[in-house]
Amino acid sequence: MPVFLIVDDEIHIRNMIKKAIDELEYQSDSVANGEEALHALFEKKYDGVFTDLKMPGMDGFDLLDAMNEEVMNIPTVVVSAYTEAENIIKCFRKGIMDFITKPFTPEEIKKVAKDMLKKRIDIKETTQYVKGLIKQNALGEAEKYLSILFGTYSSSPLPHYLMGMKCMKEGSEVKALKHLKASIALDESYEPAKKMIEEILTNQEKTEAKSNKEERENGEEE
Amino acid sequence: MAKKNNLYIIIIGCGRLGSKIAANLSNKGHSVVVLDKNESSFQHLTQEFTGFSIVGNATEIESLKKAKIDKADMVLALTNNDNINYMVSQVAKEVYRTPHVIARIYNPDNVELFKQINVKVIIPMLLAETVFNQTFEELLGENA
Repeated sequence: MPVFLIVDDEIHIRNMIKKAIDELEYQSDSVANGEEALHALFEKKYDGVFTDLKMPGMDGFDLLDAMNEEVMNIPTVVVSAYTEAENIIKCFRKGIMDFITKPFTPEEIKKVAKDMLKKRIDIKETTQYVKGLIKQNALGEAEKYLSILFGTYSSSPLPHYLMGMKCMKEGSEVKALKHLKASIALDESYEPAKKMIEEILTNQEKTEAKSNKEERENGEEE
Repeated sequence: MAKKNNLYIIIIGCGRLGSKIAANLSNKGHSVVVLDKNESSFQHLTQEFTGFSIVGNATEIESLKKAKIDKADMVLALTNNDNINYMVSQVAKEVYRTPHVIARIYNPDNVELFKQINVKVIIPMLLAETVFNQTFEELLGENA
C-alpha cells in the first residue's frame, strides 16, 4: 500500500491532509518539521512527501535541499500559504512536483497523491541507464527515457544535462550547449552541466587555435 | 448530493454564528475556510476549529478566489449584512455554480430575492418568532 509523509507544524493541517489520504485508502505518517521528516525519510521508503514551507527549525526549503543532497528522488509536493511567485519558482527549481496553496480542498490532495504514484520512477536508476545508452550510442532508446524524465522532472536540470550528453554524442555541440544552458537556467549551481560547458568551450578554443596556427603555417609556406 | 464525508465549505463572516458553525463543521471532518474582512473576528473561533481563516473582503472577487470558491461544495453567507450575503450567494450560485449555498437574512422582505437564485435561507427573526410563539403556547398550556 502506498505510504506518504506529511510535514507540517500545524497539527490540524496534518490531519486534514491525512484524512484526504485515508479516503484513498493509502497510508501516511506525519511529522512537524524538516528534521523529523529527514529522520523519517532515512528510516522508511515513502511514495511521496507533502511539506509545508514555514516551519520552526528546519523549514521546507532546507528540507528540499537536504532531500536533493541525499538524492532521495521522492516526488514532493509543497502545501503552503507562502504563495509569492518567487517562492513557488524557488521550490520548482528544487525539483518539487507540484505546489498546492492553502487553503486546499481534499480533492486537490487526493489528485496530487495519485499523480505522485503515477510519476514515481527511480530517477537515479533511470539516469544511469540513460547514460549507458548514450555511451553505447543507442540514442533512439535514450531519447525514449529522456522524454519520460522531461515529463516527470521538467523543473530539474538533469534531463537537459542528459540531453546535452546525447547531443554531444550526435556531434552537435551547438544543440548540446543549448540544453546545458537550459539546465543551468533551471539550477545555476548544477555542476555537471557547468563542467560540460567548460569542456566544450575549451575544446572549441583549442580547435580554433589549432586551425589558426595551421592557417598561419600555410601562409608562411606560400 | 452524493454522500461525501469531507466537504469543502466556505463560510463568509466570522461573527458569533459563523465561528460556531465553522467549529461544528470542521469537527465533523469537513474542510472549512472562514473569510472575514476583520482579522479580530477570528478571535471568535474556538480551539475546536481546525480549518483555515482568511482575512478578506467577500465583496471582492480576489478574496473569494483566495478561498478557492471555484472548488467549494458549499458556501454559507453569514455576515450581518443582507446585501453582502446576497452578493456572495449570487456569485457562488451563478458564477461558480457552487452546489449548495445557504444565506442568513435579517430582513424577511428579502427572502424572495434569495429564493429566485435558488439559495436556501435562514431568517433569525422568523426562527425567533416561531420559538417565541411555541414557548408562549406552552406557558399558556401550563397555566390552563
